[in-house]
Amino acid sequence: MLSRRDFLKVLGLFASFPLIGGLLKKYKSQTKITPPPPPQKFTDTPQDMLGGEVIKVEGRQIKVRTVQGIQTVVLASNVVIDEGAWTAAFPITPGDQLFMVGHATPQDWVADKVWVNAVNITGEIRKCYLKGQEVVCEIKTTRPLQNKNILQAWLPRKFLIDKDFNPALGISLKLWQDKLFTLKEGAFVRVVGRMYKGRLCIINIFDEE
Amino acid sequence: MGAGVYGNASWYSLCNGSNGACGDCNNWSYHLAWPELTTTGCDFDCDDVNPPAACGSIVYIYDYCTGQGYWGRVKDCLPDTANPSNCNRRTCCKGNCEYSSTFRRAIADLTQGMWYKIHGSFWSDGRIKVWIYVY
Repeated sequence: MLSRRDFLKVLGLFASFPLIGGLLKKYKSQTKITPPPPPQKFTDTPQDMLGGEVIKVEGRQIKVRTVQGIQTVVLASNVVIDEGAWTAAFPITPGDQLFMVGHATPQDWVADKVWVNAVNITGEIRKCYLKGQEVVCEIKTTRPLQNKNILQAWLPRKFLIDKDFNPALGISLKLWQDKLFTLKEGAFVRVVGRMYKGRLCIINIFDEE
Repeated sequence: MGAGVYGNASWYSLCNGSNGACGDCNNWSYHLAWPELTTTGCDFDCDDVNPPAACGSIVYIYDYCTGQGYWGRVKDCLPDTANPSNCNRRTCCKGNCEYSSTFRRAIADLTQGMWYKIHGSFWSDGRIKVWIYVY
C-alpha cells in the first residue's frame, strides 16, 4: 500500500516522462484558464442592454418601465425579435417583459435585438397530444411559473417530423436551427422559449438526464 | 487570493431590479446567482465546490463554448441543488450536448444580460460549460 507521499512521488516521476507529461500538459492547456486581473472600474449595468415591462406600444415606439423609470424605445428598422425564431411573429403587447440589446441616441434608445418573455424552465413531460394545428405538451415544472406547476407548452404542427403521432414511441420534432429532438412522456427536459398568453411557445428542448 | 471552480451554468429571467436574494438583481445587468451566498447564509452548492461569495462579489465567468469570458456580480442564490440531479447535468455547445464529469455540477445561474455577454444565443444551448473565478 503506497502512502499519500509515495503516491505523489510516483505521480511526479510519471509526469516527467515525455509522453505522459505531454498528455498532462495538453489536458492542462484545455482546461486551465488564467483569469484576467479584476477591472479597476467595473460597470455591471451596461449601456447597450435594457429590460423591463412594456407599458404602451405605438407603431415602432415602445414605452418600457425600467428600474430607472419610463424609457421610450424605438425598434430599429432591421430589429431582430426572438433571434428570428417562429415566435417573432407574435406582437409585442403591454405587460410583456423585454430584454433588449441596442444603443442610446440623443432622442431615444434604439433596440437592435429584442427577446420577449423569454423563459428557460426544467420539468417532466406529462403528456403530449395534437390539438388542431398544434403539438401540445403538459410539463410539470420544477419551479412554479406564473403560480402554476403544470405548464402548457406548444409549437406549430409544421415542426412535427413523423406524421404518425404516437406519444408512447416519442414525438420527433425539428427545433431551433433544425435540431432534431424526440419528446417522450416521462422525460426530464429543459425547454427554452417565449411565454405568450399564458402558454410556453417551445423554441428549443434539451435532455436534462 | 481568489478561487476558481469548473461546472455548468444556465440562465434565468426572473430578476426585475428589486428582487433576488441580494434585493437588487437585474436581468439586464451582468448579474448571476451563486449557490453559496455568505450574505444570506444560503448553501446549495453541489459537493461544496463553490467558493463562498457575498452579495456584490465580482466573479469572472469563462464560457468554454464561445471562448468568451467576462466579469459579473453575485446577486442571487441559485441554482437550487437540493435536487441532487442538478449536480449531474449535461452541457451543450452550439446544439451538441454531452456529459462531462468535470463540468457536471450546476454552479451558477446567469441573468439574460450575463448570458448574452459571454454566450450570445438564448436558444442554442440551455446549459454551458464554464469556469468561474471568485475574486
